[in-house]
Amino acid sequence: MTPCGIGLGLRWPFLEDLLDHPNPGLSFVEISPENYMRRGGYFPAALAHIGERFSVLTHGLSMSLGGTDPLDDGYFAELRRFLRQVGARAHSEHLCWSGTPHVRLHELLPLPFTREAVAHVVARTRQAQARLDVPLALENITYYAHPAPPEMTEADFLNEILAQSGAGLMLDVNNVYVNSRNHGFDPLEFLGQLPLERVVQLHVAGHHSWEDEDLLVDTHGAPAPDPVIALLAWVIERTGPLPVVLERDQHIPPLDDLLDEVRTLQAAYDRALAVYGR
Amino acid sequence: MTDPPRSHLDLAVLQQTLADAFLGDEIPPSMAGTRLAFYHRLVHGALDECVASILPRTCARFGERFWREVRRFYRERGPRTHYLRDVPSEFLAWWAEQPWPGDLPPYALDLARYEVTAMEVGAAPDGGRSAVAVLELGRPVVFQEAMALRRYRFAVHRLPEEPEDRSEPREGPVALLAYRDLNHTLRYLELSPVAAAILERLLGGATLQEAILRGAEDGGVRVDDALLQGTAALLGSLAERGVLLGGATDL
Repeated sequence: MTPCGIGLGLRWPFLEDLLDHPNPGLSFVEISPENYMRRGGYFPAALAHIGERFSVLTHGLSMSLGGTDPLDDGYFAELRRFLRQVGARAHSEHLCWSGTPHVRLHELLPLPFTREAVAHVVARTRQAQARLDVPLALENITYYAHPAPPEMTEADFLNEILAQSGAGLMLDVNNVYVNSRNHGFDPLEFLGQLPLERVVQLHVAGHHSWEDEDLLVDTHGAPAPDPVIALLAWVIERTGPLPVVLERDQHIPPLDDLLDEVRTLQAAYDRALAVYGR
Repeated sequence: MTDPPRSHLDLAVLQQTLADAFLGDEIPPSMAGTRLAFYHRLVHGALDECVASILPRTCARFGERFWREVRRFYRERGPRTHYLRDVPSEFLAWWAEQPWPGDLPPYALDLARYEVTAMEVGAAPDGGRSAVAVLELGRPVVFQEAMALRRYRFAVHRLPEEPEDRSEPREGPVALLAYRDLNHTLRYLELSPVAAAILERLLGGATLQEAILRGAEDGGVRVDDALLQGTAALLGSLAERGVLLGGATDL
C-alpha cells in the first residue's frame, strides 16, 4: 500500500543521520534512481538499510520524456531492475526535455505548450510506460520562459497529456506557485483546472527570488513558505490522503530541522484532511 | 545560433537549437535579455557543480585555464550520459584526444584522471560474486568490479591533498591500482612496472601463465624464482584486499 502523509526526499548529506535517528517520524522517503542505478559502494549499501526502515518512493531525473532522442533501452532496463529492487509501486518523472539525440543537458527544460509537443510527449510517455512494470506519473515543472509561442495554457497542456497518455499527475505545488508568480496567474485558479482525481503524489519545497533575473527560482533551497503550504492544503482538502514529499536540495539544514519542517507540513496536511473528511 | 523557429515548429530542431545555445560559452544575442537566457545559467551551473565536485583539486589548481577546456567540451562535444556523475569522465576521455593547451602543464591531465578515477572506482557497480575456481596457471583470474589500474606520467598521487597546494609532481611513470575495500573505502596500491604489466595482462583476460610470461616480457625482466615469488605475493596481497576473487570457472 502506498504510504500517505509527509515524507522526505532523501539526500546524501543527511543519509547517515537518518539511519542513526531513533525515531524520525517518517513513513517514507523519496529517492532519485539515477543516483543509485549502475552504481555500487556506500550509498547503494546504505539505501538497502534505509529500505528496511522506510517505504521508498522513486522520482526520476533523466528520462527526458519530451526529448526527441530515441528512448534508451539500457537506461530503461536498469531503471526497471532498480524499481523492482526497491519495491517501487509507482514511478514519477518530470514533464520536460533534458537532451537531444546528440547531447544531454542535465537540466529540466521546458516544452512548448503546443499540439505537436502534446502528441510527442503522449507517444513517448506511452512508450516509457510500456517499458516499466509500475504506473508512471508526470510532474509539472517550473518554466521560466516559453521556448516557442504557446498554443494553449499550461493547464490545457497538462490535461491533454494526462488524458491521452493515461499517466498520473505528480503535482508539485511549489512549481505551481513559482510559475504563478513568474507568469502572473492565480495558482488556485490553475489548480482548479487540473484533474485532481489523477494526482498520485505531491511535492512541496521552497524557492528563492533571484532579483538580478527578476524571477522566483525553484531552488529547493529554503523551507516551504506559507503560500506553498496553503496550496498543499487546498489540494489535500479536495483529494484526500496522498503521499507528499518535502524536497530540499540546496542549503540543506541539519536533519532535525528538516524533521521539524516535516512536522509542520504534517500538521497542515492533517488539518486539510479533516476538511476533506467533512 | 539562429532564432528558434517560430512557425512550422519542429520540436527536434527547436530543442537542438536551444541545446546548442545553452551549452555555448555565451548567451546568443538573439536570446540575450530574454528569460530563455536563464537556462544557459542553469545548464552551466549544474554541469560546473558536478565537475567541481569530482575534480576539486584540478579546478582549484588550474582555475580559469582548466574551466576554459571544460567549456570547450560543453560547446564542441557536450555530455551524452544519462548520469550526471559521469560527465567528468566523458570530459576527460574527450580532453585526452585534444591538442594539449600550451598554458597548462602536462600533469594537469594526470591529476584530473587521478581524481576522476577515485569517483569511478568509488561508484563502480558491485558486480555479482560469481563462483570462482582455485588459482591455476592455465586459468584466467576473476577480480572484483570496483577497481582500476591506471598509469600516469607524473606522481600526482603524492601531491598534498590541500586544495591550495601548488607543488609540482615528480615526473616518471607510475602504475596505481585503485580499488574499493569491503568497507566501501577507496584504497590505492602502487605497483612496480612488472607487477603492473602482469596485472594488466590478467585484467585483459590472459591466463595466469600467459600473464606472467607476457608481463615479464613487457616489464623487461626474466621469468625466474624471484619473479614467481613476487607474483605469488602480489596475488596473495590482492586476495587479502578483496580485489582478487579467484580463478575463472570458464576457461
